[in-house]
Order: sequence, then structure tokens, then C-alpha cells
Amino acid sequence: MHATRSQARTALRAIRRHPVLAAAMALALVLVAVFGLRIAMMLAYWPGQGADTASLKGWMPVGYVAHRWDVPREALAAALGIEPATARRRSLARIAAEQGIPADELIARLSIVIEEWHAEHDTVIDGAGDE
Amino acid sequence: MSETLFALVSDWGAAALMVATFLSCLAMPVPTSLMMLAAGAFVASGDMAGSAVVLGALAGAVAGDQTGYGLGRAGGKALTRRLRRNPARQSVLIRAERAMARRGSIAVFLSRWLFSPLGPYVNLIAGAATMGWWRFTLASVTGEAVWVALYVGLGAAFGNQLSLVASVLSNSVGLMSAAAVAVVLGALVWRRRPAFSPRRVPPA
Repeated sequence: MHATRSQARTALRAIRRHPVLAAAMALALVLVAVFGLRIAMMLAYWPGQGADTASLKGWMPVGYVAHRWDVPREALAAALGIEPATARRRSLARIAAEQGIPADELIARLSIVIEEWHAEHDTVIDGAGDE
Repeated sequence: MSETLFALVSDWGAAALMVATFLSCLAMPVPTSLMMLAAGAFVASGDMAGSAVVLGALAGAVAGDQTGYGLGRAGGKALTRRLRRNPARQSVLIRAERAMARRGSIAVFLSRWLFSPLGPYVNLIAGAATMGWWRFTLASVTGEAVWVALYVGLGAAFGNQLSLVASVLSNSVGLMSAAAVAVVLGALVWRRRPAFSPRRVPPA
């Protein structure tokens, strides 16, 4: 106990002798706390990503859409009027540009396809489903 | 912002990753981790080939590390020549080189992925302190492999929640790096504590 107190005093003296280093260390500790709080807030309050087709975005490749919304790639490719083989990695925005239509229009068309496919197969749309 | 990055990956594929990892190893503020997560998700959905993603990201990262190390070595030579003229500074320099010889490998390895914001500076220091090229390269390649595998793997596993995973990861890396800096500074302060203390307890 006594030794601990004496060590604490030594530490205090060390801090007084190197105020700049000690201040930098304090700043780093504050950063640790800030990052920790942010992680806790994120895990607690993250708004669930839309499970419906509203979260379809232009950056998404066709395969990714097929995977995430659980619809066969071929069905999507057919609806977009492209070959499934060429659908690899091409984003919706790029396909829209190639077809000369706005990306929003293509996304709207695709969301109808996804909804209809799930209605036909009697399955639930879950684009944020757990793997 | 993040959607533009995801689009870069879907439009340019592995080439985008290679450029991003290269730049981020040179301390350029490129959100490479987000891009690797997206690439991982695209591997899982069959939009990209896993081998191309891993090789592209790894090649860029290793080339970036080598560039940083080379810059450190070139700049370090000019700097150390001047420092060596002063005996006090020379002793500091020798200590830095010894520390790099003792703990350089683990510093390089861990600063690739666990403390990744420190990576670019560790490259410069390793070069300036003339850490052996083979040792540096071995630690760099293995560390970058862990970095790439970790982010691509997480992207593949949590492709539906890319932005949440990205935010949690970047804050975790920030937390680890800040903690590492705090520990090093704390050790420096403690090591330089006043030697004499009037109320010191005699050793038992």
C-alpha cells in the first residue's frame, strides 16, 4: 500500500517534469474514450439498413443486388435486358448510363422486379437479412 | 461519400483497390478500408474474383510500403549525417536504430492492420533507421496480408451492413492506435521519472 502511494507520487513528479509528454498522453487517452463511446453508440443506435428495396443504390452491381435481395441473377439480368454473363460487377448506374436512362428509373424498375419475384415465390423481401 | 467509393470499386475493380491501398500506405487520406469491405461483399455475391481482389489490394499495399521505406532511407541518410556530428544526438540516433533492430519487425507487422494509422510513419522510420530490407519486407507483406484478409473477409461476411461494419472498424482502429500512442508516451514519462525521491521506500 505504502509502496503504491510512493509510486503514485513518483509518477506525479514524472508528469510534472515532462508536462508536454504527459499532456500528449492525456490527449491520447481522451481519444481512446471518444472512440470507445462512438463504437458503443453505433452498436446501440445504428438505424437498421432498409430491408426493402428502398435501399437499392446506383453503386450496387447486379450480382450484389441478386445476392442481397435473394433473387436469381438471371431474373434480374433478364428484366434489365442484359446478358447474365456480362452482369458481373457492372453497377446499376453504369447499366442505366449504357441504356441511356436515368439511374432512378432503372432502380425503380428493378425494385418492382424484386417485389414481384418474391410475391410469386411467396418469400419475404429481406435485403438486410442476416447471413 | 461512401457510395462514391463503392462505385469506384464496382466500376474499376481490383485496379481501384490497388491505387487506394498504395496511396493509403503513403499517409494519403483514402478510405481504403471501406473499399476493401465493398470488394469483399462483391466477392461474396460473385461480382468479383477473390484472387483479383486480394492480389490487387496486396500489391498496392506492399508497393506503398516499399515506397515509404525507400523515402525514409533516402531522407534518413541526409538527416542522420547531420545528426551524427553532434555526440548527444548521435547517441539518440544509435538508440533509435537499436530499438528498430530489436522491435522493428513487430512494429511493422502490427502497424499494418492493428494500428494502421501509424503505418506510413513506421515505414519512414524503418527506412531512416536502416532496418534491414528483408526483415522490413517480410513484416510488411505478412502484416498487409492480415489487413487485406481481415477487411475483405468482413466485407464478405457482412455485405448487407457495409456502412455499419466500416464505421465500427475505423473507430476500433482509431481506439487501438490512440491507446498505443498513450502507452508509448506513458512509458516515456515513467522512464524519465526523477531518479531521486526523498520519501522513496527502501527495497525490501
